Amino acid sequence: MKTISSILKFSVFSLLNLNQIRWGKSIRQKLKPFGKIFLILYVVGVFSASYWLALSQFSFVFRLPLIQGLIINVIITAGFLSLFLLNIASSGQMIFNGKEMPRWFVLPVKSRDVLIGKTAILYFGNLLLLLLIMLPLFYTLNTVGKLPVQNLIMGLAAIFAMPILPILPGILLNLTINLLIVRRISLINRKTVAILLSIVLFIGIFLISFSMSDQTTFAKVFHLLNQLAKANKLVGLVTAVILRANWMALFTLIALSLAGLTVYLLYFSPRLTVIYEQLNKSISSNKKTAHQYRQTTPVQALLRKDLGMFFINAGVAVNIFSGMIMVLFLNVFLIFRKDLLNTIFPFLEMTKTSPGIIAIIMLNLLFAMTTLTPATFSLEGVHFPMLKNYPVTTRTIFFYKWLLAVLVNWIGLLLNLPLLIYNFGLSLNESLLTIFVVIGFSLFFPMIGLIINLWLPKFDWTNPVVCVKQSFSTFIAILLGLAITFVPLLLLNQPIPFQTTLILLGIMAYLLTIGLWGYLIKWGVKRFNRL
Amino acid sequence: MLSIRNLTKIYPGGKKAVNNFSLDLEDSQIMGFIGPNGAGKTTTIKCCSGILPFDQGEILIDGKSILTEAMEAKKRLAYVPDNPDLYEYLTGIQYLNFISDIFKVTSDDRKKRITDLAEIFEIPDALSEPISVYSHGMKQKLALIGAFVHEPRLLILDEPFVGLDPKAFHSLKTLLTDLKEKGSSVFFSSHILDVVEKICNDVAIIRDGELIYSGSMTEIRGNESLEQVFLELTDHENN
Repeated sequence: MKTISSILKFSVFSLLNLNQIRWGKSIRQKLKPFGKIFLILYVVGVFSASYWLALSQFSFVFRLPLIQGLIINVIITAGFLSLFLLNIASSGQMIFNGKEMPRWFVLPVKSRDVLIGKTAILYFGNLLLLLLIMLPLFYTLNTVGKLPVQNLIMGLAAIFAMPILPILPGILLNLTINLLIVRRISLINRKTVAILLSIVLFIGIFLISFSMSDQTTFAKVFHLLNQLAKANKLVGLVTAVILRANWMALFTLIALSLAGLTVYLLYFSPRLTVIYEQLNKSISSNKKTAHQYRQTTPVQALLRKDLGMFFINAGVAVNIFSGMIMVLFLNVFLIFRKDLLNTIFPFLEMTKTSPGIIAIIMLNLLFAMTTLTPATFSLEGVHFPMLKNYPVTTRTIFFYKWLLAVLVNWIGLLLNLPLLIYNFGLSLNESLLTIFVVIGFSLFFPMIGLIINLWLPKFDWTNPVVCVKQSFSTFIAILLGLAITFVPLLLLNQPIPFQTTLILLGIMAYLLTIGLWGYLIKWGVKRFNRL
Repeated sequence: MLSIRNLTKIYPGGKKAVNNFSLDLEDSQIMGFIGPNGAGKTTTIKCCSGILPFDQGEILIDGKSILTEAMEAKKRLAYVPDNPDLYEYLTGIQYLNFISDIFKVTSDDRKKRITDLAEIFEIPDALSEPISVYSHGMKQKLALIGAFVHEPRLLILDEPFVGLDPKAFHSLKTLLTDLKEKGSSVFFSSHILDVVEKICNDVAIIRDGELIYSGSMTEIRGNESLEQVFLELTDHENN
C-alpha cells in the first residue's frame, strides 16, 4: 500500500507538474497577464458554451445558435472525441514504455503497484479533462435545464468511473500494434509501420462511427454528442445516468470499469517487464548500406533533426498530425457524399455566402490541430541545452522551427485545397481568395504555437507522448487555435462586401504573423536564453 | 584560448554556484578541472559552452566573447556533456552528419574524419544503427567523435572518460594529445585524478564555486601525487 501511494504521489506530481506549473505561489508568477486573460476567457467560454449547449440539447429555444457557443461547443466535442482517440493512440506507450521504467524494476516494488501507479497518471489526466468539461455543463443543466440534483450526483459518480474504460482498449490496441511490429521489423522501419497502423486505426474508428450513427455523425456539430452516444456505448451509459438517473446504467458502468480494471491488473502485472523488454527489443538490420556524407546547410540539418523528433514514435506523430488526418479524411469522404455538404455545414445554407469560407475554416482547423510548434521546444527535452551550444543564432532556431511547421501546413494545403475546390465548387476568384487567406493563416498558426511553447515548455518528461499529450502548451495552443479557426464565421453577414472582408482577414493574418515574429525576436530570444 | 574573468553564476533561489571565478587557458594546453561533487565544475563548463547565462563576468574563447560574439565563440569550441544524451531517433551517422552540417564541415573532410575516428573508437558498423540501441559507452564515443569532427580550437569535456572501455580510454588520451599538438586546447573535468595527472600540463581546482588553485601540474604536485594534493587542499579548506 505504501508503495502504491509513493507511485501515486509520483503520478500525481507528474500530473500537477503539467508544464512547470507548480501549485501555490508560483502559479501566479507563471500565469502572467496573458495567461490570466486566457483562463478568464476559457472559463467564461466554457460556461457560456455549456449554457448554450443546454439550451439546444433540451430544445428550450429553437433559434440560430450563438456563434461563440458554436465555437466552444466544437472545442468541447472535439476535446471529448480526442479524449478517447488520443488514449488509443498512446496509452500503451505511456504505461509500458516510459524512460523511468528501469528505475522501478530495480526497486523492491511489486509490478502490480507500478502498473497501478502508472495507470493512475492516465486516469487522473482523463478525469481532470472530464471534470473541466462536464462540471460547467452540470451547472447549466441544473439551473437552465432544471435537472434534479440526484441526476447530477449520479452523473458525477459516472464521471469517476468513466476514464478507466477508454484506457483499456487503448492499451490493448497500442500494445498489439507495437508488439506485432517489434517481432518482425527493424527499429528504423518500426516507427513508420506503427504510424501507418495508427492512422489506419484512427480512420477506422471514424468509419465505425459513421456506420453506427446513420451517416450523420458530422451533421450539425451540436448533435455530435448525441451521435457519439449512439456510436459509443460508454457515452451512452453516462448519458443515461445524467439525463434519466438510470441506476442500472450507473451500476453497469461501475461494474464494467471495475471488472476491466481487475482483468487488466491480473493480466498485465506479471508481464510488465516482459512487455517493456519486448517494446525496446532491437532487431539489427543485416543490410549494410554505404554511409552518406553530403554537406547541407545548418538550417536543413536542423529541419531534418526536428522531423525525426516529431516521428520519434507513432503516438507523437499521430497526436501531432491528427488535424491533417481528420481534415483529409473528411475531404475524401465528401467526394463520395456531396449530398451531405449542407447537413455537415448548416451555416453554409443559412448564411447564403461563399463556400470559400468553409474551405478556410477547414484548413484553419488543419493548421490548429497540426501541433508541431506548441511542442517543439518541449520535445527537445534533455537535448535542449545542446541547442544553445550550437553556433546557430536563436533567431535561426526560431525560424527553422517555424519553417518546418509552415512546410507541413503547406503539405496539408496541397493535399486538401484541390479537394476543397472540387467539393465546394469554388470559382477561380474564390479559389484565389481562399489561397490568399489560408496561406496567411498557415504562417500565423505556427507562430502562436512557438510563442506558447516558449512561454510554457515542458522538458522533464518520461515519454514523448506525455510531453505532447499532457502538455499545457499544446492544450492552450489547440484551444486558442480552434477559437481562431472560427473567426471567419464572425465576419459573416457584415455590411461590407464579403470579398473585401476576406481580403481584410488575409491581410490581418499576414500582419499578425509579422507582428508576432517581431515580438518573438524581442521577447523570445531573452526567454530562450533564460531557459 | 579560454579566458574566464570574474565569473559569477547565481541559480534561482540565490545559490551562488560559481563565485568570482577567473582562469586562463593558453593555446596548446590541456587543463584538468577538478573539485569535489557540487563544487561548480559543470556550472562553469556550461557557462563556457554558452548553455547557461551568468550573472557577472566575462568568458572569451579565442578572444571572442561567449555573450556578445556568441556565434564566433561557439564555432571555435566543442562541448561534450557529462551525460551523452544524444538524439536517439537518429542513427550514429545521421548524428555525425548533423553535427558536421551545423559546424559546416565539408563532405570530403567529414568523410575522412568520421571514418578515421569511428575506426579509432571501434564503432564503424554501429553508425548505421539508431542511437537508441547504443550502450552508454558507445554513446560517449559517438559524442566524442561529434566533438572531434569539426576540429575545434577549444575542446570542453565534462567527465569524458566515464563509460569508456580501456582501449577507448587510451584512444581518447592519444587524441587529446594530438589535438594539443595541432595548437588546440582542451579543458576537461574529471574525478579520475591519475588521468588528469598523466595528460595535463595544468590543473585548476574548484571548491564551493571558488578557484582554489590554478597552475602547472608539476608546481602543485611537487613530490606528491595529485590525489594527495587534492585531498590535502580540500581537507584543508574543509577544516
